[in-house]
Amino acid sequence: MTESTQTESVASKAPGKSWREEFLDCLNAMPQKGLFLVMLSLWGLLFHFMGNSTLGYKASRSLFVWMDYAYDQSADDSHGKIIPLVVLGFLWWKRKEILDVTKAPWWPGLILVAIALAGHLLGYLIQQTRISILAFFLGVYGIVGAAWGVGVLRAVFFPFILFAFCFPLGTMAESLTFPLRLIATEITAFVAGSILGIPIIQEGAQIVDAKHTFSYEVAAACSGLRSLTATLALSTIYAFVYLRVPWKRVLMLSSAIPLAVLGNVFRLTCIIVAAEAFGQEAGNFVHDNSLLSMLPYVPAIGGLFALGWLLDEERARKPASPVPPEDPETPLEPAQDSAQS
Amino acid sequence: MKSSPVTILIAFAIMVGVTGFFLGGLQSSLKLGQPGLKLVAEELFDENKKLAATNAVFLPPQVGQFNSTPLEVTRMELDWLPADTTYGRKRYTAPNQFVADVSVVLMGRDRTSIHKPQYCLTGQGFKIEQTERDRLVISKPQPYELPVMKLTTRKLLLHEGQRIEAVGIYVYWFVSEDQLTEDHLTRMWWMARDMVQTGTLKRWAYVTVFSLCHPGQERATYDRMKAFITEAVPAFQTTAGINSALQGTSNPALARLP
Repeated sequence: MTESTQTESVASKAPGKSWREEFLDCLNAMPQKGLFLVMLSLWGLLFHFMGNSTLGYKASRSLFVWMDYAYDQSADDSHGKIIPLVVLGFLWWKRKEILDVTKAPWWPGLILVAIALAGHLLGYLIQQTRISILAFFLGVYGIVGAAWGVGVLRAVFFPFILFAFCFPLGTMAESLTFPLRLIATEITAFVAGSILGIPIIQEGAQIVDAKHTFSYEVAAACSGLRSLTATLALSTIYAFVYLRVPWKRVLMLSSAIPLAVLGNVFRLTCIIVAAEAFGQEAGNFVHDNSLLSMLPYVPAIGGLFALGWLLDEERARKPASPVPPEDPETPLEPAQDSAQS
Repeated sequence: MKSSPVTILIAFAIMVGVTGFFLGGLQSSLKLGQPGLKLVAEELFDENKKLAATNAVFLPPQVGQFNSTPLEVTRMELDWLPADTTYGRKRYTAPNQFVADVSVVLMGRDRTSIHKPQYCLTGQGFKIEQTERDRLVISKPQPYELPVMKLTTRKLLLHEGQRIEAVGIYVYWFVSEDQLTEDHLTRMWWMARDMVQTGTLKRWAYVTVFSLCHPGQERATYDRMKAFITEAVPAFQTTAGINSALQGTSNPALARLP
């Protein structure tokens, strides 16, 4: 059976197949599985036994042990553990596209592997494990290319982009989160003081009310990094799944930062309003309650969907209401887009 | 473009194998630099009075009128930092009870011994209010300028059952066998550059001097700290800056003293 007929048989599978059957069909349709698995195994072994040259906080040569440690150290990085599952989910979602392209071993994929090895060498030499993490994922992408070719590389590009969220920022994030803390505090102080009329004083990242009955410091944990990461991940997924035009994708990705700040301002304002109305304990409740800690995501996700609606390419192509032909004798020609859909 | 899977696999295996072989030899061939501070056989203890180390960075028993007492290295530091980290820690007290705590962390073969101090301070509950660079004039062995970073921090302390606000003046700098800087990123860059260019892992140390004072006494406290540092540094630091008479020339080399 040729590759093209293999993919056709899966792409036009009979409806009603179980998930397991479909998975096995997809697996059978992929050529060069052995080549891919051997290369991936060797790659994994290299990074397990010689992936980390720092023997400080975590005395292990394994890149994976170091990554696990880094994710455990910071709640802001803990999502790194689930990203590979998200990537697998998206690979499954794009399976038809992946199966439809021509697959054949493609030696230029090894160029990506070589670049990744050079990166890992540098990271290992200068004891910067984060560089090795980037090298590891770039190498896996190169292995995909070497085993199956450039068509598959194109098809899996977006899911692989999501591996960027596996990068543990750790204390490096401080340079990003500190300005965010100040911006969120300043906007919150303006909203509370000038719009809501709550007499408050802002000092740096601290907010106190005029009577000194409550005080809040916008701490690092409230800086918005966590909601920024989540918003950025959602905007990335939205941009790549629903949008095709590059500038729209860029706009969607760029919106993550202001939307994350907006979300944090919303949450901080809720805390201040609660504290002003019912005392600091009420503010603390809004701050500490796990359900209410999801408040930043309300305007962030709402904003993403609103922007997505505005940028929606399908909606823009559809007329607001069907326009009847002026001459009833003239038949309606099918629109180009509707033919595609 | 058609490619043979066997050829690809062989090429890939060679690339990974050669890299693995190279990395294996890299660690053992890495040259470790010399410390820019004097070392001494001296016992250090943790907060439970358990022996923590038998060698330390030398800190003089007396600096001018300041007498010293040993300070412990916390068990958390000992457990977290790499095992080959060397410490130096002493509390210096002047006759008028002015206190300056000196702490040195000297890395071994792992750069994770040294941290950006801002995070450690914040972790200890200090709020950093001001960050300033300064250059202290050290007179021995020749006049040179020591670059330092000065952090003014604030913390609420419990004193005799009452919460009082204290100001912490925190002065630090980094020193290797031939480099001095107060800037964390510069140290990181120099370290990476030296490792790539020469295969030498410079043994950087992080020196801090810390004093507490009441709000309003910041300037006077820092002046006393400067006087203490300029007197203490020649006693324990072997790396000196270029002669201040040569400052401004294009030669950035620093002198390493015997």
